[in-house]
Amino acid sequence: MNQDEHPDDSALTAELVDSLAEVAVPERPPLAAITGRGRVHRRRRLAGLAGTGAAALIVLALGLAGVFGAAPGGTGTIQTAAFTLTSYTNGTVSLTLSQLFDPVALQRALARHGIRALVKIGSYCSSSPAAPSPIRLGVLPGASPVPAGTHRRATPGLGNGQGIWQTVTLPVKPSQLAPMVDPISMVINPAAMPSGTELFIGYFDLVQTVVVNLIYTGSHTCSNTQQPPGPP
Amino acid sequence: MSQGNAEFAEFFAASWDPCLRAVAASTGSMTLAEDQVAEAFARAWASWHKVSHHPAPRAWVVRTALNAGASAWHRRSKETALASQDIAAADSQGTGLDTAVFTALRRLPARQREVIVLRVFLDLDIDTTARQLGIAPGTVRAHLSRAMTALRGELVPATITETGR
Repeated sequence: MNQDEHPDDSALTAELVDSLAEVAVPERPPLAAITGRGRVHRRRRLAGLAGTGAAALIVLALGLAGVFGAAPGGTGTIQTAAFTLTSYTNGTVSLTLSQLFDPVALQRALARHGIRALVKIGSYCSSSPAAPSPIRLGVLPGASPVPAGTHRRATPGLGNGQGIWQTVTLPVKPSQLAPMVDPISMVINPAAMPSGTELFIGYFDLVQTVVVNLIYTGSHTCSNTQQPPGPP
Repeated sequence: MSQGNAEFAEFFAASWDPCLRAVAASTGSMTLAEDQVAEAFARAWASWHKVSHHPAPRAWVVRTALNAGASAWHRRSKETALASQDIAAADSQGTGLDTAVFTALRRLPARQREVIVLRVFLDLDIDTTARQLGIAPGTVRAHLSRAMTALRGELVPATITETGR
């Protein structure tokens, strides 16, 4: 508390803290119960299994099931502990993020698959005027914008609940990805990216959200933030 | 036990009670808070290599627990949610969560309540609280000021009346 605050605040703070100290808490569970539950998360992450019904929500939101089904055989794969990139003969590339990733490594891997990209963690990049919607251009085939309100509950405090304009915000709920428990998949069609643009992929740990958008290579700004801004 | 597991065990033993109290105070339900905090600690263990380097691991647990609660809340039907509210009211009895302080706290908007939990209950400084919530320090100050004003309005008059007798 500082000098700008109300003179009663110290007493009030003390009252709050004292009240909290008086709250009776049940006995701490055995450590083994916690680590056992934690192992389930680890297994899901390592095996890349969608272990919860909520994980299916990601696939539904992106509408990817059909895309994967229709994709021809992979022609080249880069797989790390954090992500898997697979090229297909139709020119599309599938990207699966399975845990918190090294942005530089992912950016390089995307480049090797012919995808110009800027990958950041905790930083939001955008162009002004905004680049065209990657969904409308077919850069993210099968993806659809998150319906209004979807991420309002999933990421409290994120914005006005109207969806992030021209971005794909995977409705990654903390229960799925805190921290980055279940994999996130998307299909990218680099041929649909207009000249002079690149793909921005940002991960925001605090709200556990991945944002994918197009930006102009020569004209964009990035700002450090723990959550992406709301729609303009 | 590996060094990481030993560190986690120490963190878990020292942090369970304060984290559970903070989450329970925010949610009003010890039963729900217990499950949410256990889940948050499980996730902390699963990613201990990352959480152990977090500037405020207890805040990570509390935020994860509260977010997990919000997510679970979202999944429930309205009827179930209303039923849960009743459960919350019932299971606050006798835990200390049914005092005027916590009743007033739960009347605050969610963001103001989060600021109180992190800033006051977990004793984080303004900048760390701001980083945790992904908002500017000035916004934290504004939320804190509004929250304290609201709490003062509900709690201080009662105190003054009592002492003035």
